[in-house]
Parts: sequence; C-alpha cells; structure tokens
Amino acid sequence: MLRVEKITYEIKGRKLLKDVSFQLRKGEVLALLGANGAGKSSLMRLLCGDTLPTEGQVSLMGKPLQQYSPIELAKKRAMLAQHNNMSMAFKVREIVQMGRYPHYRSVPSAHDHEIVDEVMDVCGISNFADRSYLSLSGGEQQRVQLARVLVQIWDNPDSLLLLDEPVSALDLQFQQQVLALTKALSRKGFMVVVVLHDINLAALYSDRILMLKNGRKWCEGTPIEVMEKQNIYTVFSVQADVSIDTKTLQPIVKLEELLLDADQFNTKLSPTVHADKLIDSCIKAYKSDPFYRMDEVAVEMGLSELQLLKMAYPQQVSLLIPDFSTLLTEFVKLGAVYSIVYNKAGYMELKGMYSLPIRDQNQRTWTVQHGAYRMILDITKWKVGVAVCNEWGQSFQFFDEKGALLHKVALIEGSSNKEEFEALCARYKSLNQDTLQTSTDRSSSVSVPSLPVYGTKSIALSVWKGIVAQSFAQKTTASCSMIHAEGIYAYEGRIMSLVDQGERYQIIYPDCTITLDRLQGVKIVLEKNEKDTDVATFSLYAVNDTVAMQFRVEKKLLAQYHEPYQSSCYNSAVI
Amino acid sequence: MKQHSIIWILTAGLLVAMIVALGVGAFSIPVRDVLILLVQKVGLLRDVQVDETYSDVLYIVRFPRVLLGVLVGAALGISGAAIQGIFRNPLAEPGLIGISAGASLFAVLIIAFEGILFVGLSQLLGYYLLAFGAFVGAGLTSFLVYQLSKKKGRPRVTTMLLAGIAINAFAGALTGLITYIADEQQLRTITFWMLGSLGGATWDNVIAIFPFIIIPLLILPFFSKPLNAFALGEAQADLLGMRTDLVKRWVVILSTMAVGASVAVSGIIGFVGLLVPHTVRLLGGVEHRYVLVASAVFGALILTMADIISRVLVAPIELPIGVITALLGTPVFLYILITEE
Repeated sequence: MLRVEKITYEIKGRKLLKDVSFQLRKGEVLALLGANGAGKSSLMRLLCGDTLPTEGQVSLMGKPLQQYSPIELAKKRAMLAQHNNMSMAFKVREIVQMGRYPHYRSVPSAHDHEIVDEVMDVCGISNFADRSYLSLSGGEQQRVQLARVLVQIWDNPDSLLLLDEPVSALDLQFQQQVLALTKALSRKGFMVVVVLHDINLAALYSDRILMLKNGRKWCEGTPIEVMEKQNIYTVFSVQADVSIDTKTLQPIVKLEELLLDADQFNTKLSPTVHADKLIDSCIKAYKSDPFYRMDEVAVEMGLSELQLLKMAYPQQVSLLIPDFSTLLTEFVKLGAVYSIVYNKAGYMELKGMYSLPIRDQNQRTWTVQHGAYRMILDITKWKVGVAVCNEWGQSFQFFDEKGALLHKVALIEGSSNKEEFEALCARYKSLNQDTLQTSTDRSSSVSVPSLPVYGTKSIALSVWKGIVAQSFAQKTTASCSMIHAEGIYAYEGRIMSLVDQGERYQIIYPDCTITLDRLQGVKIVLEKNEKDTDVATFSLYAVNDTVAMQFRVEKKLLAQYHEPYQSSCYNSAVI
Repeated sequence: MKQHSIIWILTAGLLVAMIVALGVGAFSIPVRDVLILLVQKVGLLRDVQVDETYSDVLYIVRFPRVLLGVLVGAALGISGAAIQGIFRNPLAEPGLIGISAGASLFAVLIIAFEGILFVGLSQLLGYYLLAFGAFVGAGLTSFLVYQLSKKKGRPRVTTMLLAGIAINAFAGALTGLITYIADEQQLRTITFWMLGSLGGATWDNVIAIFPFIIIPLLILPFFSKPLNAFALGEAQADLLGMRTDLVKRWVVILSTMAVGASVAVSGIIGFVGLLVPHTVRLLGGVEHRYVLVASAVFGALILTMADIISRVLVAPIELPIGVITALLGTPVFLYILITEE
C-alpha cells in the first residue's frame, strides 16, 4: 500500500504541491491528471523517493520512503520518467538489462536473463534487441525504457510502478497495449500510478483518477465519479461533453472544438478580408439557429439574408417563379403551417392554416386569414421566393429587393402536407436558378403602411412589461400587431405565457409566439387614447423610428400604473 | 564474445608493440635479442650470450620508458572512459575537470619560479619537484571543480562541466601570464613539458607513479554498472539504487589520481583520453565493463605506438609524444566524427 500524507513540496519559495494526500491499495491503477505545470511530475518524483517532500510523508508498505536503502527501494518501485535522453549508443538489450542492476552484483543470473527476454517480448522490442538505442524511433525508445522499468520489478507483485506519460510517443495500438499491460499487472498486486494526458484512456484503464490543479488535489475517485464536465473544465480549462458508454458504463469525454482566428494572434500574416470572415461567422451562426438574426454590420457590408441562405445551403435552396399571387392561393393546401415574419424589434411565429386570399380594391394588398390572425400582405414587396429544404425542415421564403427576409412559410412536422409542398416546389421551381437577385423594382417607393402617430413621450420598458404581465395575469384580451415592410400581422387573444429573459422577451399566445429580441433601443409610446374605445395602444418604435409593433390592452389595466404612467405620459386626463 | 575478443586482440597488439618499442630507437636492438633478454629475466635461457650494451639499454633506458608509456596510456584511456561515463557525453575528457590545466599551472609555476620560491622544496624533492607539483596542481583543481559543482551537498554534473570550463580558462590564463614572464630557457622547458614526453622515464618515476595508476586501473572497472546506469540519466541511475554521488566522487578521485600521476611524469599528452574510449566504443559497443578495460589496453597500445613513432620518425632526435598523438589523433577523430551516423 502506498500512503501519501499531506505532502507539500516547495522549491525556492514556490509551492509546487500543496497538502496532497491519497492512498493506493495493492492491485489498483491510479491515473494522475492535470494541466501542464499542475504538479504531476513533481508528485511522481516524491512518490519515487527521489526527492523528499518539504512537509508530509510518503510511505510504501507502511514504511516511509526515506527509510529504505536505495537498493531496497529499487527492488520495490520502478519509475518511467517523462524524458529519457541518452547520448551513448547502448544496445536495447543492455538498456533493458540495466533494470535488473539492483538484483545482481556483477553477473546477472539466469533468472535475470529470463525476465529480460520475457519483458522484451511483451513490449515488442525483441526483434531489435541488438540494435543501438539511438537508432530507434521515439515510440520504440519509449517501449525500451518501459521494458527496463518493468524488468526492475517484474517478479515482485508487492511493488509500485510509476509511469510518467508512458504512452506519449506511442501509436494507438501500443497505447492500448501498454495500458492494458499495466492494468493486467495491477490485477496481480502491483500498484500503478500513471500520468496520462488522454482523459479517455485514463477513464478506460484506471481504477481511480486523481486530478491536480495548481499543486492541489482537485478531486479523486472512480472514473465515473470524477469525470464531470465541471471538473474537466476546472482542471484543464476546456469545454467537454461527458457521457456514459452504455456498453462498458465508462465515461466518455468528448471535447468541443475550439475555434481560433489566426488574424487575432498572428499579426505577421495578411489578414483575411473582414467581409469573408464576417460571412463565415454569419453562415455558421445561421446554420446553428433557425431564428438567426443577421448582424447589423453584415447588413451594412451588403450581405443579405438571401445570400446567406444561398451560401449556407447551396444545394437545398431552389428559386421559385415570381408568380407569388398565384402561389399565395395555393398555400391553403399545405394545411397547418408556421408563418414567420421578422422586423426590427423581433419576430412573430404564427401557427395555423392559410385561407384563400382576398384581394383588396386597389389591387395591391391581399388579406389572408391565418388561423386566428389576419394578415394584410403587400406581395409586390416579395421580389424573390425560394423553397428551402434543410435540416430545420421545409419552407417557402420570400425576400425583398434587398434580399431581406419578409415572409416565411414553414412546414410543421406531422401536421403539414408534405406531398403538396413538394408538388408546389416542383411546379413553381424556376428554370433559371442562377439569378437570385432580381432587378430593382420601380414600385419600391411603396411606403410602410403608415399609422397615425399620437404619442411622443416614451414610457419605460419595465412599465410596459408590467402592463403586459397584468394583462396576462388577469386573462384579458391583448392584441398584438407586427408591422412589417410587407404588411401587418394582427392577432387578438389571451396571452398564454410570458418569457422574460431581459434582452429576449416572448409573448406566447396559444398558437402564436412573438419574440422581441431587439428590445435595446426600442422606444415604447402610449398612443393617445380615443375616448370611445376601451383599449390602450402601445407602439413600439424600432431604432429607425418606424413602428415595429403595436400592442393593445384593456384600458382598465393602466389604472394600476397610475404613478409611473402619469409621470411619463403627456395625457393623464384620460385615466 | 565480440567484446572479449577485442580486448584479447588489443592486449596481444599491446604486447607486440611493447616488444617492438623495446627494440627500436636511436640505438636499435634486434627483436631476437629483446626476446632472449626478456626470457633470461624470468630465469630461462641463461646460457645464450647477448651483447652487454643491449642488456643495459634495454633495462636502464627502454624498459622504464615502455612501461611508463603503457601506464600513462592506460591511465589516460581508462580515466577518459570513466569521465565520459559520468558526464554522459562521449566528447568529455579528463581535462574537463581541470586536471591538465591545474597540472600545467603548477608545473609552469615551478619551472618559472623554482629558483625563487621553491628553494626549500627543491632541495627536499630535487628532481621530482616538478612531478610532485604537477600532481598537486591536478588534484587541487579537480577538487576545486568538484566542490564548485556541489548544489545542496550533491555534486551536479552540468555544474561540474561548467565549473571545469571556467577553472580551465582561469588556470590557462595564469599559465599564460607566467609563460609571459619566463625567460628563454624556462620557456623552452615549459613548451616541452606542455607537449608531453616520455623522455624522462626512469625506473624511479615508473615506481613512483605505479600505485597511483594501478589502483584506478583495478578499481574503475568495478564502476561499470553505475556508469552504465548513468547513461540513462542521473535520476534514473538513482532510481536503480545506484549511489550516484559516491560514484561521481570516486570517479573524479580515481581519474585525478591516474591522470595527475601521468601528467606529473610525462607532461600533457592530449587527445588520448578523448579518442581512445571513443574508438573503443565504435569497435565493440558502449557497455562500460568492456569500455573501461578496453580503453586502458587501447590507451596503452596507442601511446606505445606513438612513442615508437616519436623515436624513429626523425631519429636520433625525439619528437614530443603529445605532438604525435595530436597529429595522428585529430584526423582520425575527425574522420570518425564525420562518418558516424
């Protein structure tokens, strides 16, 4: 048994190890893990008795290491060091035989020779036993040194085997073999302490794991107990996913990819054009989030959502014939779908069926009933339409002349009519798939549906949120209109749930979700109340001072917000 | 076994070279007579008549000279091998721990100031003052280097190497300074001493240095196990139960004894300590049990052969043996360096 009691090791006032204690029973493999400089090698040097701890003590089989004579200790513990440099051309066999030096005076016995031969076979070095050590590869050299260390204690199962990174130079096969070998030896009684860098190997081949952090013991236990995301992050500063293998019940650690941009640390290379980099990061983000909102910077750089879509999914996007008014009448066949619309303040997800559209008198806008909503659409704004089929599902997406996404019709897994979607795709697929960008239309002057602006003074976001919350709590009707370049989407109903995550505010209706993820900079104004209605209207102005959303609640709710309201609204007489 | 046969071949070569060396020189003795005289010495063939002069030259001049060559060569060879062993570096040599530099400094000091400073000692030791001084110098400097190399009571090989270089440079500078103020005659003596020569061989000094060389020759081979372990690195040698500090101390002491004694009587003979072990390793491997013994034999052989060359090349004048070893050794050494893998 190896007993380590409160050892501290100090060099020139620097404490390399602080108060480390643990025990190792016969027949156990202990893996020592830790970042570079955590004190693993120092600990190994203390365990082998080469150096004495400043405080505390290490004892082997109940006897402190310093009480052993060098030869006595050499017969009881062997250590493979991390670095083994040799400058003299010893033969492999000569080196392995040195491991038996503690056991004979000047002439090795037959027993010694047998051990040397056996271990060389086990380590796979017999076929170059007579070659010079210096002519070997790094991995072969490491195996020779390992053989020498094993030879030293091969016939004494009471001994301690210390291996400092024994597999660092080995190929996969020998990594496995060497660790399997040590584990098998431990089953015969050997105590093994092994420093490893591969945490998965440690989990596989050790009985217990000890993690060191800045010279202190961070944790100790069986692989399952110790291999936790948090421990790994603390000790190694890397993000990892830990799962349990269902067959072996061993933990498996999967590292997350760390992404670096060479421009940030190498100033001597010509930097990647900013736009390319931006596009790359946009594409990455876009692919990872179906509700990805493009960066303002990217918009300024001239990158459009349409381009992004095309770049992210070059194969999954097909261009549609721009006969959108006909297509709109076909949406009814799709069954229940999501209709998603974006604006400056957030986005709205509606669930329902498209009705047959009704065209208004001026031949410009269409009114579509979509579940509980009414959508007033100006489809002349739709310049490009595409059908998309990617990992997030199938959808039709419509973009304006600048390539900004206006309207998205997404299929719901299980409830939408998939065959019809494919039929529509086939029918409306444009023959010319190359020109994504349409020529700028003459009618781009059509303005945003104008709404009368009454209020001028804004109220605080928290106050508005409070009123919304009241409406939710009292189960009153609250209507919400998203105002968008292409039209207005209005919904009326009772709020089912509210999610407030600060920057991200969600109002959830039974089949509609409004997500306001751009609340920063949004100005909220309580519109002047018409006397004859019992609703109060809040307008949310996005950064460019256009109305992004209107929200109507019952007027009585305002009463509870008398104080803040009075101080912030120009018209207190109404209440 | 290969290593054994190499040692036997070298020994046979040494014996042959010794017999040749006994015969050749300014005054040549036929090999037949050399052999007869040798056999008569053991008590056989007493009735064969050999020229009286032959016998005198052989016993009084040649014998001590050849024996001195063998002793000095063996001393330089084995110490070179041992020092390379503890330094774990095949390019180390006994000079590295300050033996030669210290011996030179003291020798030069005595040559230059014998009449002024060392009158008393000179009367006491007479002719041996120079040898004695050189031996003391060798011992003092290597002791100094050894002490300087101690960190926390343990000698460190890397520090020893650097301390050796520093002390070498320092002693070299002092030697240079003294050389500068020496007169013509002294300068000549100094130069001759520094080049090394077996010319001063007498039975007396052979007997005087014999114990200093034979003891290291007999003991150093017992250090082959720890020296092998040293090749793995000092820490590894420790882990194998070797008492590395003791090994270092004794190797330094024994090498200083052997090399110091050699330098004392024959001046500085360069390159043998470096070249001999190196060649021996190339011949039969690096295992120290073989290297130490073979280096002793091969060193003796090389020095005997160099002595023959120095005596016959421009006979009757003698070339300094240090010049011969350096002249022949350097190209061979460079050749080895270049062709080595």
